[in-house]
Parts: sequence; C-alpha cells; structure tokens
Amino acid sequence: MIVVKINGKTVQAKQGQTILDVANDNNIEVPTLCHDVELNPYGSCWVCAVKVEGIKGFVTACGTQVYNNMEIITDSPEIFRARQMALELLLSDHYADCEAPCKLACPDQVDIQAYVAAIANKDYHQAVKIIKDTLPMPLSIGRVCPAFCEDECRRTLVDEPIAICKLKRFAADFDIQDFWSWVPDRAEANNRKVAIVGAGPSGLTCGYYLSNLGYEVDVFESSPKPGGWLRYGIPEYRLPKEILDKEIDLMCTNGMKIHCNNPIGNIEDSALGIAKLSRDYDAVYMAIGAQKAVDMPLPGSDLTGCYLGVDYLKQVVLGNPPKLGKKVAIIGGGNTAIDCARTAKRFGADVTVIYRRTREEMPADEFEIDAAYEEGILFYPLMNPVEYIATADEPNKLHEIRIEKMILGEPDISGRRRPMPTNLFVTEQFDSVIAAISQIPEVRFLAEEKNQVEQNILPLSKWSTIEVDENTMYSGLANIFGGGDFRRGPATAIEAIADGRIAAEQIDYWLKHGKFEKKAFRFDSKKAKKLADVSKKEYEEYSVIDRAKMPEMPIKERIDNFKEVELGFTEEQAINEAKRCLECGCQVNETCALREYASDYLIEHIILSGDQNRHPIDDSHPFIRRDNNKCINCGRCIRICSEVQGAGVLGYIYRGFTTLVAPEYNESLTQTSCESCGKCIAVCPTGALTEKHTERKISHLTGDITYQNCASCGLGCKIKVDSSNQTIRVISHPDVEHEGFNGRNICFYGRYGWQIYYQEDRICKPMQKRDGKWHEISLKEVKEILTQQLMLHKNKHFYITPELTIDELLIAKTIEATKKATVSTLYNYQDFTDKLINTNFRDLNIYRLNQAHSIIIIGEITHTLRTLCRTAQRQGAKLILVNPRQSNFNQFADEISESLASIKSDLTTKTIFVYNRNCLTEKEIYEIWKKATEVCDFEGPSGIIVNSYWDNQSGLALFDFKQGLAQKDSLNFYWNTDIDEAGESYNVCLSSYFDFNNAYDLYIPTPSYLETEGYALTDEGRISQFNNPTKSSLFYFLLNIFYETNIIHPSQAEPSLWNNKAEVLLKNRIVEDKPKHWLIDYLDTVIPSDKRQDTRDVRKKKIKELFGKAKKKGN
Amino acid sequence: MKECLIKVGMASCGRAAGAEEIYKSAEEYIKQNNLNCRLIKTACIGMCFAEPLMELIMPNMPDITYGRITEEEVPKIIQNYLNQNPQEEKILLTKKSTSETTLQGEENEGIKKQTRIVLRNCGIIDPESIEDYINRQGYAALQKVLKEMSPEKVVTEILNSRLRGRGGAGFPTGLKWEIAANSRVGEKKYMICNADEGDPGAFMDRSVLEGDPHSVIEGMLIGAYAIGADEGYIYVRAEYPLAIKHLHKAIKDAYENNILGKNILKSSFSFDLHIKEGAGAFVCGEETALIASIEGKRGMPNIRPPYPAQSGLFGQPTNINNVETFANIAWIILNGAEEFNKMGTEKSKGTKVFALAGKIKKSGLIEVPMGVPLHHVIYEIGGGMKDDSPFKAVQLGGPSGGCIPASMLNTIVDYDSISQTGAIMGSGGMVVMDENTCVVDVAKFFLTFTQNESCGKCTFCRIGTRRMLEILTRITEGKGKIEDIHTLENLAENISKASLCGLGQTAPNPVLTTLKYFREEYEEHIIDHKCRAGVCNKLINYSVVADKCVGCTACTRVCPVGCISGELKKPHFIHQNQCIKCGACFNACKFQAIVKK
Repeated sequence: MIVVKINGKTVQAKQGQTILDVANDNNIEVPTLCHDVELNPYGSCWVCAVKVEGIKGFVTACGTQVYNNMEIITDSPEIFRARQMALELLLSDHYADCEAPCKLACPDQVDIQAYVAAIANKDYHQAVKIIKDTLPMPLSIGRVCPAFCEDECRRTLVDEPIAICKLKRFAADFDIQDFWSWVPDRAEANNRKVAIVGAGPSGLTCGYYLSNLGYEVDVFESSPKPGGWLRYGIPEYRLPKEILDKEIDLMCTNGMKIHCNNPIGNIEDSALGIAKLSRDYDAVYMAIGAQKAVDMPLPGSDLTGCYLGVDYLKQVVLGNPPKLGKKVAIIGGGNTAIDCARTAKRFGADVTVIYRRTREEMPADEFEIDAAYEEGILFYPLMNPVEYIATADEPNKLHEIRIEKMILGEPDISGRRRPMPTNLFVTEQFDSVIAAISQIPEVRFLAEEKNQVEQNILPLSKWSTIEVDENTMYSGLANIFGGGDFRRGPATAIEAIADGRIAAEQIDYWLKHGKFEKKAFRFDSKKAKKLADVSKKEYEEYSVIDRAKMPEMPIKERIDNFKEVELGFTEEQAINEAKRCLECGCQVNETCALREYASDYLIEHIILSGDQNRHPIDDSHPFIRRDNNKCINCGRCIRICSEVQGAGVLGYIYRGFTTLVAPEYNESLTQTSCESCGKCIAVCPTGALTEKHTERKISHLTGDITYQNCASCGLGCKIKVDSSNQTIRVISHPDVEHEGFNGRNICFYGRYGWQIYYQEDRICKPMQKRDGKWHEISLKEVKEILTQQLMLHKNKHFYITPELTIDELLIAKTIEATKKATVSTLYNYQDFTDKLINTNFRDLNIYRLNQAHSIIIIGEITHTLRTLCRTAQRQGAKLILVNPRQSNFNQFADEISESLASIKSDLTTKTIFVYNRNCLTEKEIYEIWKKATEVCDFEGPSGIIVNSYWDNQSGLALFDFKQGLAQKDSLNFYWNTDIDEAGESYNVCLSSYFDFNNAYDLYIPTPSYLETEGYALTDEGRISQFNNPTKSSLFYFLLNIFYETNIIHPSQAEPSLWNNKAEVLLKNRIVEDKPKHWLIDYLDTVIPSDKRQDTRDVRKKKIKELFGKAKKKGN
Repeated sequence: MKECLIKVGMASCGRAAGAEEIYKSAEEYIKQNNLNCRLIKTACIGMCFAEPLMELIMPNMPDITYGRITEEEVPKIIQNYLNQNPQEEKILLTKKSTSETTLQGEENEGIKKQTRIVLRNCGIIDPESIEDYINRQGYAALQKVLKEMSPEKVVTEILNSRLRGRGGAGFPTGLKWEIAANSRVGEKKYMICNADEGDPGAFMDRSVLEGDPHSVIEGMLIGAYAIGADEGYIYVRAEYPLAIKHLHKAIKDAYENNILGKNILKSSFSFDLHIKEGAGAFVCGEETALIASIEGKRGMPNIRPPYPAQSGLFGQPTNINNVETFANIAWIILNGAEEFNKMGTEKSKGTKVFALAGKIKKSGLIEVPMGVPLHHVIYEIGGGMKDDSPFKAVQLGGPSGGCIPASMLNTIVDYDSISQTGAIMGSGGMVVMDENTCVVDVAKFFLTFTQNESCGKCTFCRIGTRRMLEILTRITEGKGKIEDIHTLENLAENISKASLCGLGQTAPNPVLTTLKYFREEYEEHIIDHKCRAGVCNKLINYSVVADKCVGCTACTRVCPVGCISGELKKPHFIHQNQCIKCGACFNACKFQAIVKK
C-alpha cells in the first residue's frame, strides 16, 4: 500500500495502479476515450490529462502509475481547458452527424431515421410507436405536413429526398387498420387535472401526452367536432374526416375528454371562463388557434359574392357551402388559397388564383400547387385585385374585379422579392371572390372579466398572439400556458403539435417539481449547417433509386367529389422507399463517449475548426460498418484486435493529420483475416465502428433488453439481446453489471449468426413436399398428415441432438416413456466423456482459467473460449498450442507443439487442457485424458475443459438416451438434426431452420434459442438460460402439434410446464466428487473409436454461409 | 621520391560538390604519370562550404588542403605540390606538420577555434579502413576497458565525465547506463545507436558515420560492456547510403578483427551488431518509436514507463544513445573524465558538434567546446553573415527548437542557457537567418514539417499542430485575425503539455520563440497585411519603378506567366492580377527597377 494525494485528499493506493485506477476507486471522475480495461495504457486521446506535482506539463491518468506521496490534481481550470481543447480538436475533425438532419429540421423533432428504419424492417407498429413519442397524429400529419424534414434530406444529394411524410402515413394507416393499434401505457392516475382550450392539433397533443402521464384532461372546443384547423381548414380530399375521427378517438384511449360545442367565454350565457378553468384545474393550456380571417379591405369588398377563405372552408365542412357561381377568383398564394381553389373546383366552378408574386414565391406546398394545376385551376401570377365592382343592375353583387399588374422589385425582410405596382390594369368578370390572405387568433373574448386571471388579461402581442416562453409555453400568468397557432399565428400543424408536446412536458414537470425543466446542454456534431453546404461528391458511391411515387386518384375521378386524392403507398413501395434512407444519424448517438464528454465539457462551438479528413463510409463488410469520419484514432480497435483477439487486421496508415485507422492498404475488412467477432465495435468509443445486419436497418433506438445465454456452441456465453416487436436489433455483450464469464467477448456466431433467423428465406410455417415441391400448409393440414402417418407406420422414432434444450429433451423423454415413439441420438453425438458429466472431472469452472499456470489447447476450439485462454495468458498463464490450425492467433503461443507428447514446457499440476470434442476423434480425446491424469490433480485450476459445438451436450448426457441409426420403414422425426438416411421412411424435419434441398417429407418449424424459454447445460456444467427475447410462439406451436396428434397429453402442451420441470431437474443436479484414481480406472475400461464427432445441422451450415459473406480473401 | 598522400573528401557533401570527378581526375593523373602517390578517400572535415576538398601530405612539406577545386585544376595542384612549389590560390588550410599546426590560408582561424573530439578523425582517416582508425588510437579504449575496467568502473567514468546525451534532450549518459546496467541484471540486454537523424538541416550524425564509423562502434561496445548487453542495433536512415555502406564495411572489418562477435579481443565479452535501416519517419528518432520500428511495428511512441531501460526492444532492457554521444566515449575512456570535464560549462561538459547552415559564410560542420557564445560560433567560426547582411536570428534545434534573436547572441552554447531562450540545443542544427527571412514563414516551415511527421497518435500533436499551421498559413496570407495569436499560444501551450513524445512537446517551439522575440512581425502580417522580409507571397506585390526601368525586356523574358508588358526601351508594367509573385523579374532586373512591397 502506498499513499497518494489526489485533489488535496490523501488516499491509499496499490503499487502498480494508475492515476485513473485510483481516481475510479475514489469516485473521482476522469474522462477517457482511448483507455480500455482489457488493454495496456496507450495515452493517445489526452482527455484524461491530469497534473502531477513536480512534473512539467500534463500526464495521462490512464498511463501514469502512482508512486508514494504522489500529488495529483484531476480538476482545475487549466485541466478543464486542456480537456476541452482535446475534445474540441477531436471534434474539429469529426465529420459526422450525431442526429439525422431530418430530425433536426422537424419542428417536432420526430425521430425520423428510427421510424423509417422500422418501416424498412416491416415493423410498422414500432414505427408508429416511435412517431407517437413526439407526434401523436401521424394519420393526419402524414397527409398534410409540408415536410420540413425532406428539405434537409441528404438523399437529395443522390437523387431525391426520402418520402418521409408519406412513409409516416403508411405506417399510421397500417397501424389503424390492423387488428390492434399501438397505444402507449397510461401512467397511474395522479389526481391532477389539466384543462385545454381548443381541440386542434396543439391542444389534442398536449392533452394526449398529459393523459398518458396519468392526468385527467378536459379539452373544451367551441366547434361541433374536434380537430381544429385539420377539420375545418384542410379539405376532405386531403384529409378525410373519417381518418381524423379515428385518430382523435385513438388519442382519447388513455382518458382525454373532449367537450365539443363548449366555447369558453365568448358566448354571453356561458358560465365557463378562463378564470374558472384556472381555479378548477391545476393548469390550463390555451390552444385556440388563429382562425379569424384577415380581411382585404378593398372598394367593394362588402358586395355579395365576396368571401373569406377560412370561413368558406369551414362552411363547406359544416355542410352548408355558399353558392359561388361559375367563375370564382381566389386571392392569395398560401395553402388556404390553394385549398379554397381546389374545393371550389370540386363544386364545379372555374377557378382562378390571383397572386401578387410569381409561382416561385408562393408559400403553399409545391405538391399542392402542382395538384391544383393538374386539376385545371388557372393561375394569375403578378396580379393584385384593387377593386370589386358591381353592375348598375345588381349594385350589391360582385360582377367584375379590377386587377393591377405587378412586377417584382427588391427583396423585402422575408427575403422574397417585393411586388411593385405598375399602374397597368385589367378588369375581368367574376361571380365570387374568396380572399385567403392570412389569419389571426380571435381574441376579443379574452377582454371579458370572466376570462381574466387574477384580474389580468392574457399577455398578447400586437398580432393578437399569446406571449409565452418558447421553451416552456408558460404565459407567466398563474397556471396558464399557451401554444400552437395562438402563439405563432397561422403556421403548420406540426409546429402546433410541437408546442403542445412541449407544453405537456413542462406542465408535467412544473406540477411535479414546482419549476420548469431546463434541458441540459447536449452536443450535436453536424456535417454542415444545412443541406446546401454538404458536397454532392461525398454521396457519389450511392446509386440512384427513384423516390416512390404515391398513387393518386385520376383527375377525372376526383374532380367532382371530395374523395381522398392520395391513395397511400403499397407495402412494397413503402419498404423500398424506407430502404433508400442513408441513415445519416449516428447509430450510437445515445452511448457515444465523445458526445457525452463534449456535452459535459460544454463544447458549444468548434472554434478550432479547420481542415477535415473526409472518407467514404466503408460498407463492404456485411456486419461491420467503418466510418472513418467518426474515428478519433484512439487505437482501441487496433489493439484489441491484435493483442487480444489475434486477428490483427487493423492498423494505422499514413502520418500526421491524415493518420487513419484501417486495414492494410486501406482495403476492405473482407480482404483481411477478420473473424467478424465484433470486438472492435465493442471497444469503439464513438460511432466509427457500428453494427450491421445483412438485410435489416439498425437504428440508433434501443429496444427491449434481455440477458440470456448464447447457444451457438457449448460455451454458452452471456449475451445481451436488444429486441423489439418480435425481431432482434442487435446482440452484443452484456453491460458491466450483467457481465458473464465471457466479459465483452462473443464470437461471430453469437454476435451475427442469429441473423439467419431474420432473413427473407427463413421459413416459420409448416411445409409439405408434394410432387417433389414444397408447399406451405396450415396447422390443420399438419395435424391431418401427421395423424395419417402415425397410423401408417408401426415404427415411430425421434432423433434428438445435444442442441435441444433441457425442456425439449424432457418432452422427448416423456414421448419415450409413454411409448408414443422410440427416441435416440445418432451414435456420433456421444463419447466416453459423457460418463464424466456428473463428476468433478467435467465440472471445471471456466472462471479458473485465470489461475492456471499453463493452458494447453489441443486442436481447434471455439472462438470465445480461445479468447478467454488468451486473456488468461495475458494474466500470466503459459499458452501451449498442440497441433493448431493455421491462424493469426498462433502468434500468441508460448509454445506450439505437434503432439501432446512433444510438449517441451514444464507442466505443473495447475495445467488446464482444452479441446473441442467435435474437432477430435475419440482416440485423440482419450490421449488428452490420459495425459491429464498424469499432469493434473483435478483440483482448482487443474484438469480439462471440454468444448463442443453443441449448446446442450452436457444436458443431453444427463439423460440416458440410446444411440441409434436411422430406421427403415418408420415415421422418423429429426429434431434439430440432419436426416441420416432417407430410405423408405416418412421423414419429418423439426428444425428452426429449413433448407429446401433436403430429403424430408414434412417440415415443422421449431424455435431457435432466441425464440424459446428454456434451459441448457454448458460444456463445463454451467446452466444456460434462454428467455425468448423475441416473444415467439413457435414453441407453443410445436407443443400444439404434438398434442393435436396425440404425441403428448393435452395437459403437457403448455411451455411453462416444461420450463418448470427443467428448472427442478437442474436444481437437483448433483455433481459427484470422485477421487482421481477413479478416473484412471474408468479410462482403463474405455475403448475409444477413431470416429470424429460431427454436427449435423442445417442451421450451422447456413450460419457458415453467412460468415462466408465476411470472408472474401483470396477471391 | 617520397610518397605523397592525397586525400579527397568524399562524404556526401563532397560528392554533391563533385568530389568523385576530382578523385577520378587525380587517379588518372597519378596513373598516367606513374607518380608515387597514395590516393585515399576521406570523409567530411566540416568545411562543406568549400567542397570539393583535396589534401596533400608529403614529408618536408606542409600539409595543404585545397578547396573549391575543379577537375581541371587537379593535375596542376598535384604537380606543383610534388615539385615543392605549391600554388597559393585555393589553399584553405596549411599545416606545417602533424604535431605543430602553423596555420595559413582562409580556414586556419576557423579550425583553430574548434575543439575536435567527436570529429577527431573525420576528414583525416579513410573511413573504410579499420587500420587507419586503429592507427589513431582506435579501439585502444575498448582494449583498456576490457582489460582494466569493470563494467561498474566504466559507468562511473562516464558518470564522472558528465557527458550528456547529444541527441537533443541532454540526459546524462552515465546515469542512463547505470539504470540500464542495474535493470534486470543477468537478462539479455540491447544497446542501440540512434542514427535516425531527421532534423531538416542537420547532418552531424551522417558526417560522423560517413567519416568515422568505428568511433561509434567502439562507443557502443564500451557501453554494451558497461550495461551488460550482448546485442546491438544501429538504427540509421535509409537515406544515408554512404553512411550505411561505411558502417557495413566497418562492422565486417570489426568482426574480422575480433572486435565484434564472440569473446571480443579474447575477453569474455561478446557482442553482435546489426544495422537497421529506418524508412525515414522523423518520429523514429524517439526512443520508444525507434524500438517499435526495429521490432517491425509502425514507428509510434509508447507511453513511459516502462522505460526502455526496463523493457525495451523485444521486452528486454535496452539502452539507446545518439551517434555523437557514442563518438565521445572512446575519447573519454582514453583521456579520462577529468580531461573531458575541463571543457565546457558547469552543467554541460565537453564539446558539441553543430551543422552550420543558412545565411552564413562558412556553412559546414564544426565542433566547439560548450560555453562559447553564439556570436563566436557565427562570426568567428562561421565567418559571419553571407553578403554581410544584418543578422536577424538563428534557429537552433531544428523543428523542435526555436529562433534566437540578435539581442541574445551572447547566449552561450550549453544545454541550460539555450533552453532558457525557449530554443533547445537539439542535435546541433544551426540555421542562420538574415533580414530577408520572415519569421512567420520560418515557423510555418517547421510546423509543416512536424505536423506531417506526427505519428498521429496524440490528439494535440495530430490535430493541434495542423490547426496551428492553418492559422500560420492564414496569417502569411493576410487573412489572420488578431485573436489568432492568442489561439496560437493557447494551442502551443496545450500541445507541449499534452503530448507523449518530444515531437509533440516541442513542435510549438518555433512558433513560441518567434512569437516571443518577433511578435510585432506577426502583428504586421495581421494588421498591416505586410511581410517586412518580403517573403509571404500573398502580402507582397512586384511593381516597376518607371524612372529606373530602361525597357531592357529582361523581366518580360523571364516571367513565366507573361504578365509583364511594355515596349522595348520604354518602362514596363506588371499586371498584378496575373502575377504569381514568383520573383523571377525581381531577380532578373539589373537596374533595381522592380520593387517588392
């Protein structure tokens, strides 16, 4: 023990500890990016800079060992500035987007990339869930949004933006039409009440979120129906009211109450007033919109035939449209003007839109203007009405309009060129005119006393909008909040929704904490401020894929009615469109250490900006994406790959500022000896190395986390499964607090092998072979076929394998016991060591590897076990390889020997022999055991670790199933094993993966280890548990078939029954402590064969194929 | 007739100046006339400015060294010398006899003011001849050590000599050896010679290796004996082919003479020596990077501890010294630490070799005792400023060093005094600058070098130096902002404080020292958009002074972009928007009619 002073405090430390260790031990936070627990100190990032008394400059906390009486400072303004500068320098060369630009462009910050990915993955409910986290009205908004997001879409640099808005509509349409629609859980009622004035998008949104949070919400609406502008402003052909009704109904699921025809205070006899609401409710959200049309006071504007846009649209919805006559003029160029025009057109009028500027300056959405053109509406650009004229015959009725021609002058404050009068006039005959210039909130009623709160009128601007804090929507007056068009003036629905959501969040926080929530600073790396600043060149690698075009009702069919014009994407269109997404946002933006520190160290602006290294993203590897733009050169991937894993495929290339982490010659990873273990991803502190799926998009959004064991081999590593809606996002190593013996190590099979279950060619339905071809069949047909076959065959037989769970083996045992069928394993699943399974000889804990003096690996073993042996070697063990396969790993060997007999190193009793039973013959295995009895005492870290490709080999050995070969003239069930010999039998395949090229007659899907609840016993006797992270019902389905065909009793068709039985069995398992001479005696009785034990499983072949994708070397 | 010895300086500097032709010419002349002359190739004696050199030695005649000779002059020089009637012109150096040196000729003063320990044999012996080396007391020190001294005693002797590492940092060599000697006693150890000389403008190590390779080998052997190493490497730049050639020959000869290999000089001491050619990465001069490079890895510095003395090459205790350090060892052993201590200052003993370059009359290699003032080196030995233009600054220590201004020319040459100025002693590069040098441009030059040579590991060094360079570039282009100076200082401070190796720690020095002594020049660039030295292209304009222009069209003819117009015998005119500011017209004008502003 030594004593050091850290930040003035004297603490104890151990010799050999680094400053970082001591700081961690004493809960002093020192940031670090390049340090890794498994690796030696490296000291490249310098964000762990600290000061040591007596040393000039800084030292790295990660790389400096403490000494007695060392005085360390980890925290001072000087250190803070240095770390800040280190981070700033790293970020100045970090050409990357933390968040996708589409999300940042959206006023409501909808997580577009995540929901587009969900759509690409056919996970539509999930897409809706993501959308509704911030936007509760995707059915409506997916139809009417001007899509600010698409303006920033980077895909524009390749071809055209992703049809984000319409994808949203697709997902929402799917969700509402499905047999269940996604609805969030409601928090427990909190006995607080919130009143909302106005059932437009802003008010409804606020009410929706608050009701989900457990509030009692009353929405007061003056109109007969809710929806606000969405109902009374947006015409039916754009947003059918039936859809809107469904959406609002769904929003009310968690208890929001809407009181229609319930105006606040602006009717004389109404007792309700804002004052009362303020008193009766804990908070009031004012979202009254901006529904009052701004008049255009021209000579003659009081004539009959002159209308205002807002009123006109509302009258249409209310079912009493004004009679317009044949020739109608619309004044204005905004969405309301176009809506009026297209509505009037549908009533049979000849419509002309008169606008002061040119089409380019029109504020209406582009596609709306296009649709109006298509529908035959005339446009008079650069025209301005100056007088409405009646005739002498009908002095009160509009007859013609005098219009002045305009030209464009200098730009005004809005940036648009100002229209200038020319003094040239034309006059044209019109029956009606609809002026759709602008709208403002209707606020006269607020002056009434009953609408005053604490004797104060709500704070209003000169545009009649409410003045509130834009971060909280709080008016400053009592408990009154306000937002939406009432705050912004006439704006878009998505902005109104954003206000409503912020208001809900802040009302909740305010009521719970008595203050408003101040969002902590979060660093956002951006490739550029706006799309225009990004170079097209960087996107040259992408090939052009046309943007999906939404099917529309033909003009002829839509022009005289109000049926919805846009018909929605087909599923195929939507998926393909979603797949076009370039996934600009970072996959690890929630966990990125660089972003976290940048936020902690308040990097608000990159002052030290300059040249940036820009690289194309390397997507050539099927599972690992390399984005050097995000790399900080910490070298963790390089070091872990070369020092621990052994592949050593990464390194630095070039020098100076351009130094780059890459495979040799900057080639693709697939050209290297990369083993796709993914450890580089595990250690990357940023998003430079991220996960890929061969067929699916992996968004940054984590799903449900399940911890369980892997079943790719007999090691049974602990894995973290991230899944949502029955599919898996990624599988990775568990976090520190859930860490298993394997630490952060998982091999290719565990990390990526599962992807075969989520590929297009996975079959989850029963299949039957008829006329040499496979056909999908129903459960009922399975039952019929099987019942018939069971009767036809006298012999019925199950072949089982060590890849079944204990639960499944128990079922097999029951089938055998009830004589429904005979059961056996194929002979080569067993060897003499199975007899040792319940003894101390086979119960060598893998944790003891670290205490061994020598580790001898004979032949090839599974990847992670090999890594664990290497890790033990790094802690002092001697590593001896006997007859290894050619591999980069062999460089680590302290000795490589051709045979056990020729090992030169001295071996103590603390020697562990490791082999894989699938890779050796029984004779070879016998030799190992013989040798081990000479060397080891089988106490502590001494003995043998048997390794296999089967996840439940030890489990199978608990049962005494017979060995046997395939029988002729039998009904054979091959359960998770390949067919042995077709013969005359009827052969049923029970497997979690199906290959069309096989000799079976029937296929019944079974669950994989990610689709079932069950147990297994690993090679060295640990219990593996599978927790069905995908919530699959395949196991239930299988049991169902068994009982329907009378193979098991109906009472045994419940998965949990077998689960409980397995649990009991494992709990009561006893390991016998045998003396060593017992082993010698036993070995004397063994006659080993020279057959190699093989795995017979189509799934493994498929996974190998998948692995092949990552290995192109030599091609 | 008595034999005449003719030496031709055939180091890289000599060869570059045409020494091979001189040698051939002499060889032919001797052959044709069947003269009793022995012609040998020596290496650099240090007077690079006067290459090619030829020295003639004959009994009863003074030794004469001729400089700047041409091929055609060779026969005449030899003939006249043999006729005992040496021609006077082009004599650089005259020595009456080897013991007594009465000097005449332009170089006599310069040589006299030097003290040659490291360079004791350079330019005097044939570097490819082990006999030549042995004849000048070569390997006597090794013999002495192996016969009379224990390893501990060797270490003590070097400790007492207070020799400091000549690679630049100045760590006491004896202490380094002592640590290595005491580290993991009994295990395999390595002795490495760092000959990865990378500073632009420095060529001390090359000259020693080319001129006296055995002195380095002898130093290594003594060191290896002292620390207990039995294997060694000379890590030398592949760009030094002649040095490598001479080393190979020297190692071969040493093996053949039982100076390398098993049981050296019949003692129990054995030592094997290899040459490792480096690929020219500057950072490989750093110890841990050099070790990584020998191991076959990318040359990148590692975190210390462990120090090489604890765990170096292939994980074994390793000692690394610079070429010049090793070249001192044999002298110290033979003459004693006390003798060595007589030279130099309190904390810096012995001599230091410098490579003089830049705007100086006598550029070349010199060796002076520690403690002489800089002006002595520049004016007395270096002969003062070229063209007698005013002195502005001297850059010491290459890209890791700094600029010392005229006001500090009294600074004496020792580790600590030079460090105090903000520069460093470094390995001995000394670049002299006059008023035509822009200090911002100099800082930019060195930073361009270091930021390209960064290994890319440390954040500050990799990105920070790049940002500094970008700022300097902006300033030289007239786009600088006044706050850039502050940013430069800020960056410089953190880069030097937060980098693993010397490259990063010292990279900001050229900027910091120029900012310290020439801040107003930075400000002029930024505020006035003016480069007083007329170096920064973007800030200068060439124009014709009509009064002075005679219309000779010389400028028009040399202008590469054709932007000068004008009729014959009438004043010309430069079209500024097309001018690329190459300065060709300025140099071509004989009438000072073109001005640079």
